[in-house]
Amino acid sequence: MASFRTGLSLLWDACWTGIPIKLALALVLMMMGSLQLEAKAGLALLLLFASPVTVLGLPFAQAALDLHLSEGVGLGLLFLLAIPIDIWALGVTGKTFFLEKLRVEPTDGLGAALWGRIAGFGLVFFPLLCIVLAGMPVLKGSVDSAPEIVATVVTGGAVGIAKAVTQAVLEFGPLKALPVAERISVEFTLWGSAAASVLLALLVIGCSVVGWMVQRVADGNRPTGAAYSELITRWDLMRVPADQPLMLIAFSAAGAMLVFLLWATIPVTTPHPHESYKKDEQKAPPPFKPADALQKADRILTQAEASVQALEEQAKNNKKTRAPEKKLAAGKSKA
Amino acid sequence: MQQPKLKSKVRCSDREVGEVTHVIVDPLTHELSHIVVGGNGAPPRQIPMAEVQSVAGDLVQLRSAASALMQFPALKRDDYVTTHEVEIAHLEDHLHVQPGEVLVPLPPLERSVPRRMFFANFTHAIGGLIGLLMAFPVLRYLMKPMYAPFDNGWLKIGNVSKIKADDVGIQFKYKKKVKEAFMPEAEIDKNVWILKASSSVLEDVYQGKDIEFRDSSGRVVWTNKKNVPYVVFSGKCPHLGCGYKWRKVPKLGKEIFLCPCHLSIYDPAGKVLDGPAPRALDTLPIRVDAGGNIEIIDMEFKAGTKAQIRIV
Amino acid sequence: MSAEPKLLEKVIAFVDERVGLKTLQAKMLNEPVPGGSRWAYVMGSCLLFIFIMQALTGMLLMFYYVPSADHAYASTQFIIHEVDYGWFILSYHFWGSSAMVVMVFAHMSQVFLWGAYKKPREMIWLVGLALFGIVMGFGFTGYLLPWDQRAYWATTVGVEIMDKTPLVGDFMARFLKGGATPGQMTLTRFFVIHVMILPAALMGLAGLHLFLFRSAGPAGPFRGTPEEINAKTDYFFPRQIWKDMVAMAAVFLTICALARWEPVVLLEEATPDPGDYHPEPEWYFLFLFQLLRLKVFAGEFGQFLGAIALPGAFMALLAALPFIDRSPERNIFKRPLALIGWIVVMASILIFTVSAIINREFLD
Repeated sequence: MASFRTGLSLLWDACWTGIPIKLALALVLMMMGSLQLEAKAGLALLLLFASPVTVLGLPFAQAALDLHLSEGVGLGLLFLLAIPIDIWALGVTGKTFFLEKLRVEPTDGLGAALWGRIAGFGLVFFPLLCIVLAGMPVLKGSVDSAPEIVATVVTGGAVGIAKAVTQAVLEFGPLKALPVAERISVEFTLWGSAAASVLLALLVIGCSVVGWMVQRVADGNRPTGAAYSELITRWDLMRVPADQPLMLIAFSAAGAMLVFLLWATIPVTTPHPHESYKKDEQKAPPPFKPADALQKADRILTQAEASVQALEEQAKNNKKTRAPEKKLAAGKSKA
Repeated sequence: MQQPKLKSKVRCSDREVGEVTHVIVDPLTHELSHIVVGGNGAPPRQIPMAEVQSVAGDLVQLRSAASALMQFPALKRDDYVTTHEVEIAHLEDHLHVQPGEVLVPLPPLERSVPRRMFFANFTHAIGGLIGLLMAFPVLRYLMKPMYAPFDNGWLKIGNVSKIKADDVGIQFKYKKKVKEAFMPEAEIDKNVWILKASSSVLEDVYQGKDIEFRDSSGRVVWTNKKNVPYVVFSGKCPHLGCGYKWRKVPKLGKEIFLCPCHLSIYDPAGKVLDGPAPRALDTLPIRVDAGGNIEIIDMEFKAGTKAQIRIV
Repeated sequence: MSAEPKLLEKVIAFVDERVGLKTLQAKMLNEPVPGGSRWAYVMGSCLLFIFIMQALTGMLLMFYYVPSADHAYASTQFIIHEVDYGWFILSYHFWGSSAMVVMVFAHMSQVFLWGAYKKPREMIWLVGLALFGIVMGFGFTGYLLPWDQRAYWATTVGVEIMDKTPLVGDFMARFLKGGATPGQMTLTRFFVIHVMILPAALMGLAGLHLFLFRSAGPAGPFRGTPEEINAKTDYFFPRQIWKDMVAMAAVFLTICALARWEPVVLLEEATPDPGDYHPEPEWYFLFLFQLLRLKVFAGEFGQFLGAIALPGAFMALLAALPFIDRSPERNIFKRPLALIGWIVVMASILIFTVSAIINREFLD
């Protein structure tokens, strides 16, 4: 019981300590487009939260479960970056825990020591947990010929078994006539609580092992003789940075950079436009240039003058040519 | 034991040693934890309450001798704040350490209790009357649109030539003009299902009685006669008002009305076969002229109730 | 020896002389938190923060939104498609409302598990329950405003369910709908409730809630010797405020991320015929929605039982809790009935919510 409480307490504190920075990194990667999480975003975030345990075992778990959490290298990069964050988080929370709860002096490099053990344990434990819960769907092809029970255990895991059993139970007599809504709730409750119990049992075992490992590390350290309030004051003051202006400026600068990055990358109009929404493509009227307009007017006037003159000339010429013809004609008729 | 008062004289078993310059309160229990004794040029010392033997008036008697007082630590003033600099609720509720109370005189005019009561009550009365005056108009104001009268006009919606077979539901879509409050007159799309009923289905619908339709005052507006073969059902499901459909169900081998929202199922006569619907499909007033043109009065009934209550 | 006081210090001294600023500041900030500041205590402050953000984004939306049946949809689409970052502000407002409900459940759970509803904190608990009702009211009234199919039909179904209350149900439903059927009158009523009445009520009750909390003081941890508690006690400022601020930042960034990558997309404009659309309320009402699908709640009385009576009885139980549970024990591990009750309630809500989602596939 004690090692379970140790493991749970330490992991809970360390994971929560690390998650704000991990989330900020995740956001940066998402803003840059390197990380795209679609349907399984919740699961990915949960695994990120528990990254001291999941980071090393994740590739194996993903392969076994045929799980696609995201596109591209973004997620892998994120988990890689999570490693130094987890080492730091385990260091801070580990020192606190050692001082207050275990009453031993923490040594330097505690974070790395704890991380090495926890991640190493996770390398084996995490894929095992996934396989026990969800089976190995990747083996589906090769077990198709096996008896149904074996196939369910191998490809469905605890969840698969629970679902299959539940469905079999619900085929019995009066239960078969359950209306849809009741059936859904009963089914989910049955297989859900069965699977949750398995998960809980595995988590208790995992936390206990982690707690036992932590206790082994602590046993190698010398106990502290300080009074309780002194210990509390020590770990509390440990959180105040030695160089405050540096910390403040670095943090504010990083934050400001992120804000500018966000301003640059956030779309001005919705990235999911409604299919039937039509934007009016209004063409802007051509700009009005007064000088050009006057010149054009001038040209039109001169052109008009010229054509009027030409018409007058023509009219005069017509008169001249026809007048002598008329005189000739008149003369001919006279003679 | 009485609480030591500030400025009280402090005596040890052998002689007077000074006065109470401060008292210290425990922030969790709100009890006095220490008194600070100072005076005679000596640095003030912090004495736990356990050392106090008795308190009488403005004299505090300590158990030990004056020489033993040296063992108690000097007051580290920087480790403490006054009660004005910290927020601990109800901290001083049980402390009576001040020598005496500070009093301020009540103005002469305020000393008459009947006077205070009169003005207080009169203020309440005026406030109450203001509220009362507003209550009725405000209630009417808010309730204005809630119980509007019914529109009983006949609407032409189509012709019987559209109905080719008996006992088959045909949907007739039409537009109804509505004028809501200040809104410009709008046309809303509505639909009804009309059946040319065979005699057995007609029997199911009418149950031997003509169907009467009334307006808000209870006056009969129209009666559907039970021998008219055309039956029109309101397009809204009586469960929660969704639009339902006419479907052929392979499992049952026949055609029925099915509402997709909560899967209420009705037979061609409108009776509930399955699902959460509380009553049969609502029929509407119908009249068919010589040319086969169908007219209906568009009515709506409250959804989800066993009784049929007209609301539009 | 000291330098001439700077301008800022002179201003502060000026105000302090007139209103006792320094004392006021000390009283507001120097509140000891027994057992020390805890992350478990941040949820109340987060709620206040979320509400302020909702008020701000809501005010911004009101610059362009028109609460009229013929313009509500178009103006909302305008905000989404034409106004610069309008889609982001609207999506923030939308996700903020979900965040508020999550935080309300978290805050209520924390108070319940820490036994901080017991004497002398009964009134804080009661005012808190009223605030919970107001938050639900916000969610319900705001949902209608975009006037698309989802908004219109979820509201119609919700109001019809309220109609099932005996005696006053018809009056209440007509009052909310502004008539016999939902229409323009419904939109204006929901708008004024959402934008004026509920915010005023929330601000008043939240102020009362804070005043009562200050009067009673923080409850602190439910276990630990006085020595341990004293060793860890610190003041509201700066430690608890620091934790509150970090939590607020985390909440803010989460809502921003959700708004950025899951923006609001409306369905088609509301029509009186739902067509192929299956009405569904907002996710935090789904468990109730699914409950009402059970056969045991079929029929008029059944619907009243499931929608009004049962939730009403549960809320009444919560309200009576500080008066029924008079034991001063606050350690949740020594209150098995409370612990099991909380687990059962949370699990039930979870099961029914998930069931509602699974049920979607069975609707055709």
